[in-house]
Amino acid sequence: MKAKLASLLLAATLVVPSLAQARETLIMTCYGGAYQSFFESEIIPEFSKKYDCDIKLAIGLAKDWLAEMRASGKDNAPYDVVMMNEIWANQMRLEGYFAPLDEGKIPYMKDAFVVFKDKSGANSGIIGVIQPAGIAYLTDKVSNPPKSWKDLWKPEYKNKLGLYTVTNSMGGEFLLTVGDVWFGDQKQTSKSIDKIRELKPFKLSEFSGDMEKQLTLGEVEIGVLDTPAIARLKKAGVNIGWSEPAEHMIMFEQVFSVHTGSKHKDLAQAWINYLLSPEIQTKFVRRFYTTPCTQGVEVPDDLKEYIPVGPDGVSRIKVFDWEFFNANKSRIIREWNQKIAR
Amino acid sequence: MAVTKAQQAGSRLLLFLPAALWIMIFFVLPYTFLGYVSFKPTSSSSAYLPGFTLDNYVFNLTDSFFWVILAETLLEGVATVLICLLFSYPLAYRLARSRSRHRSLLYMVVISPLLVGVVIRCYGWMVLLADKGLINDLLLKTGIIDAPLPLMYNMFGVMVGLVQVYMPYMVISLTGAIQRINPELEYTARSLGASRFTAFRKITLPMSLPGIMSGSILVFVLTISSYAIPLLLGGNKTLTTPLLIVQTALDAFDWPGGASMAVIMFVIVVTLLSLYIKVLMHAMRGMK
Repeated sequence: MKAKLASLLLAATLVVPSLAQARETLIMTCYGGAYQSFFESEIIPEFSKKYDCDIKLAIGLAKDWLAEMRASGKDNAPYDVVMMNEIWANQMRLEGYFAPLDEGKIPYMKDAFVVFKDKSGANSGIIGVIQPAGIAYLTDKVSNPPKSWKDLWKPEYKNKLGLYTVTNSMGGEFLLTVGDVWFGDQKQTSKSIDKIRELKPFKLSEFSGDMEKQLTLGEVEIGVLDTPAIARLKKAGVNIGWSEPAEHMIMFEQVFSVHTGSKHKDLAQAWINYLLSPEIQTKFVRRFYTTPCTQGVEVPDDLKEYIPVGPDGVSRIKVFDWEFFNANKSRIIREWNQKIAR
Repeated sequence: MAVTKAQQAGSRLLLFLPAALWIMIFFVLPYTFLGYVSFKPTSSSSAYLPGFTLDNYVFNLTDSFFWVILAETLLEGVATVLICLLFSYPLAYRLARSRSRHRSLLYMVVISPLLVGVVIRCYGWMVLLADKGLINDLLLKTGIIDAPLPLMYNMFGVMVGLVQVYMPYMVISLTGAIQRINPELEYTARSLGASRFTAFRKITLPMSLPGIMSGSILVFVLTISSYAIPLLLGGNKTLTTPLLIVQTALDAFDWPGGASMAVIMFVIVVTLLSLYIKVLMHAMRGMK
């Protein structure tokens, strides 16, 4: 009997500490498809092994994550690490959903090209994926491609254009770009919508995949597209070219932030640091033809044909005032609906 | 042992309970919350502000653009119902009266559009209706047209998608109603000298009103709440109230504004459907 009790006690002493040191689990937002499989097969395993933790991906879109975060509140984090476009991240940062990031825990933050600060001035978001965007055109249909955003208004391109709806981040960037290049002020959104109206008729896309499809089918001959998409289409045999607009480029970007309510902030920051490391950045470049987001990572020679914008080109990408855009979004969408989507 | 009235009432309650719970959790509670949010002040930096306001309702109810979109959405619903009814009735009649051993196969063909996801179906239509799609390609190559017909990214494309997707609901509703009509009634009318059309008009059509009512309500409600079809086949140029609500709530972050739009639409649709049901019930009572 005594022997049994002793063995039970021994077992308990062994089990309790192991329970106390249960593996941490990080939850990160992620897009489905290629992103999901890339993270699961090429990114997560090494980190998971090194830090003895699990990384779970919350697959969806920014709109879903935002709704979930708002419904859960700041103290109850549905995700530890949030990856999304800056147009959405800016909103959540202003609402206080993202924690300050510690450079001591994210040493690669000092190498990042773009870091966003919260209201208190603390770093709270880092761009970890850059997909520079400019003007795409079908090489067999457009012999004299546009070289600037303003060129899109040339009569020769009438009835050939594809644009994004304003609810898409690229659509928002294009609207602010029009304000910038035609009126010298991003905030002239009413004038910009009127200016875009002059481009009618054009096709409208809700997301970049739709723009790719329209270009591939020849439904549009000139559109706005990111360089990784151009690389994919070129590899698929589509006769497509890309111009870097003379004024500036725009971009699809992914900003990494840590949720204020996360119970695993140290691990979350270690994960972001890992994502910014040269090794992982290079993996992103190789897999998605993205432009490196940190100093010290170069575009490999064999990919230069497909990645026209290297680290030195990041400064030519415009970073927009999303705070203004988001604060006026209802009005902008409304005006867009009345003038463009009718 | 005799079953007491209390026991009978208890078992009835037990039968009712799962459905009641389901409706409470997945209908009453979300709609209550929707109503609650619709009265909250809008904020650009949080979901909504504390307190209550009527501003969202005042804004939407006095907004001519919202009314235009709502009216167009309701008209789109009515048009889809009418087209579905027109196409479905002959098919449902044939199905209901068929004694073929292939009848079950015909049913499968009718409901086959429901076996494929709505997004996939829309992409199928895109392949056909696009400017460079199969239809335009064929018409251009045969010289019938000089320039592509605008078959997509407009109301026509949306209607094509809606009718194809929702027609099975109409066919199934009508088939059930027509099957319940005794064919002898039609034969008797014909034997007494009524033409085929008169027999249909005086007997079959009025007696199939319950099927028309349930089918049209189903198709109408599904059409006016449809999101993916107007989005994909309308190409962001055919705005409907559900698209406007999603834009307002999720794109513009205006939950109270979107919620108030949804509540207004809900009230108007319930009112219209109540009137519609009342009129049809009156017509059906008149038949008796």
